[in-house]
Amino acid sequence: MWPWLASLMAAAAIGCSGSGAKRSFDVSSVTPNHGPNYDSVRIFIRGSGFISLLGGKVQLPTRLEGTSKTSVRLEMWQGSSQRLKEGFSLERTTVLSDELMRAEVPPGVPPGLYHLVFRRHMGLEFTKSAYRVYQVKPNRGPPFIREIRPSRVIAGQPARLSILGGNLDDPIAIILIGPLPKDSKDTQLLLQVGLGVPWPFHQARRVHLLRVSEQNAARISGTIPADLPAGKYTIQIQTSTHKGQPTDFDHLLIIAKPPAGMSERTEDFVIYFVVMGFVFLLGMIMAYRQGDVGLGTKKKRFNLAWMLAGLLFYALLIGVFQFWLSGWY
Amino acid sequence: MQHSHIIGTTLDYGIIIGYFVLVLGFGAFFGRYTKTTKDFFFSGQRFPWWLIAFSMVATTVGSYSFIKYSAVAYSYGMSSTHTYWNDWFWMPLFVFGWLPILYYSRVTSIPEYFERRFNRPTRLLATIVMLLYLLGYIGINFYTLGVALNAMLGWNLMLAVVVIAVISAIYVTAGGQTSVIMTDLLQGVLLLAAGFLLFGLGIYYLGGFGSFWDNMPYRHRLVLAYTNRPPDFNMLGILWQDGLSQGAFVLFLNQGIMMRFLSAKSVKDGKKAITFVLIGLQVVAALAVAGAGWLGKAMAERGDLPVHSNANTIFVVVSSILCQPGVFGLVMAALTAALMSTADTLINATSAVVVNDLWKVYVNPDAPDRQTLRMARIVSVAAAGIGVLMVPVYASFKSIYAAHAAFTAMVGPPLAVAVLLGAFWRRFSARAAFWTIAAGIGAMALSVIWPDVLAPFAFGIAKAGGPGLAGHLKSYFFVRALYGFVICGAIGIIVALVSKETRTKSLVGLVWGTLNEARANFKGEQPSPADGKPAHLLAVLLGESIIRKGRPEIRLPLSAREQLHAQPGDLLYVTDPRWYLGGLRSAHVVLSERTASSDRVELPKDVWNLVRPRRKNGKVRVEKIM
Repeated sequence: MWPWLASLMAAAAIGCSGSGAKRSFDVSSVTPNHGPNYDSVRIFIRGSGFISLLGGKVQLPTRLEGTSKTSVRLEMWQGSSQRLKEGFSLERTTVLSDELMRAEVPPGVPPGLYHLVFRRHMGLEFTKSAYRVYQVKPNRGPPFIREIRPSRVIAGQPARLSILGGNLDDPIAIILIGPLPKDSKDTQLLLQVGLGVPWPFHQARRVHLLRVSEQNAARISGTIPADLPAGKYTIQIQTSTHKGQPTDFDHLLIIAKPPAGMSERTEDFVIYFVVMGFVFLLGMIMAYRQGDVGLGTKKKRFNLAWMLAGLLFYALLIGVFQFWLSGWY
Repeated sequence: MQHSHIIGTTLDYGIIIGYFVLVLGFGAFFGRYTKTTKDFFFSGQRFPWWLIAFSMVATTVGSYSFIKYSAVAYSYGMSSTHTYWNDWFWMPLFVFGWLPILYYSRVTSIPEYFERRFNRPTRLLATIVMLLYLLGYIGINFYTLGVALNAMLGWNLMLAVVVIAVISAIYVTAGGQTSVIMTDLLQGVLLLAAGFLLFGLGIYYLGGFGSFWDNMPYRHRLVLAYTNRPPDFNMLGILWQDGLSQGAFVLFLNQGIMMRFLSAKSVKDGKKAITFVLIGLQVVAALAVAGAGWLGKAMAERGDLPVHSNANTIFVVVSSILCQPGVFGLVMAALTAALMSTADTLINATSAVVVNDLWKVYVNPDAPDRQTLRMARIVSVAAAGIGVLMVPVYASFKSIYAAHAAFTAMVGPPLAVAVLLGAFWRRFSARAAFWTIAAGIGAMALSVIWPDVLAPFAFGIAKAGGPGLAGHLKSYFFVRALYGFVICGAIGIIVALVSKETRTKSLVGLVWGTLNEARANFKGEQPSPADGKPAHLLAVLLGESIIRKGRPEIRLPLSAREQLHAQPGDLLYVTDPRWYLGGLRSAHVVLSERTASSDRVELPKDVWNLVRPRRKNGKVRVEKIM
């Protein structure tokens, strides 16, 4: 328990820096740092001092609406400081913590590179070149996949993946869906009923491709999470112009099982119950020798049943998560 | 203009302040039931199992729990519950061994057990270690809550700490353990309710449990994951640290928990309480404190939050997203409830150790009870004050945290091994106990100075950590518990086997296997094993008490004796029949040889004053204890 506490306290000490002292304000990143202008785009702003930024007039955490009631407006401005009046306000701005804000860039903003500006009652705070707005034609065709490289990886290991195809620029989500049913008929059925059918009718899970680093119209690269179970996966690409396009079942990613042997989750379960079971067994042996548990009297039988019932309860509780729910997508 | 909710509104502040007032009034009200030191430290041993159980949960969930376990849950998923779900394995040793030993031997503190089982030097060593642990822990609880309120509401850290400390100190000083248990009942219910409410709101926000679970990565769904990686959170490490070391420490050495169980009206109620805690409340408490972290992960996976959000602020972030005005205030109140319910127990426990193990032993052994009670109250105030004074120290020097964490990690295994061997192995001598603690702490200190000694116990867990004390402390951190158990166990066993110590005192009631004699000592004669059914009888005033075996006698009619299966001399428990009073109006008594007239129980004046039968029908409930 203690290292977590130590890390919490360390974090708390950094976050506190004394009793209510003013923190320095800083923006470290805007994610995503670009987006189309035909629809609103949700962005996350990371940094520090977002709560102290607001001063004492507004109770925190709160949302900033850019009204006259607030002391701070979060705005985006294009160009240099001489052209400040050409900016526009972010919408749905929410301070989520001292280090994180969420906002939406409204639609219809002219293309270009924008500074992020916090207008405070004492002045302005700038983050230069924080966000790029670009023009995208809404009638462009849907993204399609031509090839996945590699098409086969080993489960339990992170792997780099390249997706080749068309209309792949401006992706807002690249999602791996699976493991798909083994029977091709089931896969087709899944395709027909759609992947939006809620749990537990389908078991295909959706995970995002990580660390997407190369993006253009013909190619996307990213990392597959290491903890995906073995099976066949399909890939869904959502772009800002085509959200929720049908999944392409022609190009599948196969995650192969690692070499045979007891799975790690089973090993963990066995080790855990062997070690803690030893403590339990030791207690039960001593209780038996003292005459508290056994089969001789009603009271002893009750005590024995009571102890074993608790053990069974925890075995089931942990087992359900470890073996049943963990694989239920 | 878009309309949206604003959290941290007047309504939220109203709820928080209203909650403070409620707790203060609630705690102070029960001060009237505290008249002796036994009341102050053990609530007169009058409470039923359910009251003990709920207050136990509030005590074990500290102010840092919501933030800490949410951070762990966000980073590692369901395995954050692993810490909470280990204690059942200790149950046979606890309920059939340690709990009866404590209850029947009538010890008032863990260090006192060390003297009665071993000798005075061992007691002194245990007292010093225990006090350093308790006072440091009070300060940590105050500080973490102050930081949380500072971050979430913008409150001044010291102001928040002082307000909480004053409220806690007032009701603990006024009512002792009774106020602690009663307020912890309230706080336990509140913090569980707020945790569930937040989780429910999150599930609704995500579109149902299916959507929530779909967005949980595979690793986050495992309760036990992974065997030996990453170094700061892995299955083996949690098993050693929490399953073995912390589990033993909490159940066998935590003065606050020990006092809670000694406040039960009987050993049977103590057993029921721990069963209910471990099978029910502990399971759901894990969900309540970690739920925000799981929700945060699902939100991040779904795209509602950045994928790599800061785990340490995830509770704040998720609360900000989910809470409407009023609900946010409730969550804040729950956070303060978690603190106060832990801090009050620690304050009361500190008072018990100082009064019973220092003041009554070295300063004023013959002090009358009234004077001892006054001293207990003074120490309670002082303990809260020291906790507050430690806050700026914690805020200024981060290494102080590391030092306290290192200290706790160092003393846990030696004390746990000493008490386990002492309670369950007759051969374990005073000399062995002293060296287990002293040399054990030395061996643990060596592991902080030179972490490489832990390598043989690592089972593939990476070293991690870094330079300096704080860095060394993090190296093989979880492995340190296993190392401690093995080294301290070896020291204790070797010293016990090679030393030829002549035993001069009886171990009856202090070690496993002597509990039948201990029960007889507790009752004053052999216990009668037959259990009967409780009887509800009309109470009549008898007059002055006749004391037998240290307890007042009552008279029962023959029919009630048969119903209870009670014989003259048996230990009984008389209480107001209204269950929701939780035994506040109750007394332990002895059955007289003389009988009462039919359907009536004759109570002497002092028992009558404790039970205070209602005027309307004047009935009381009588139970057989042993």
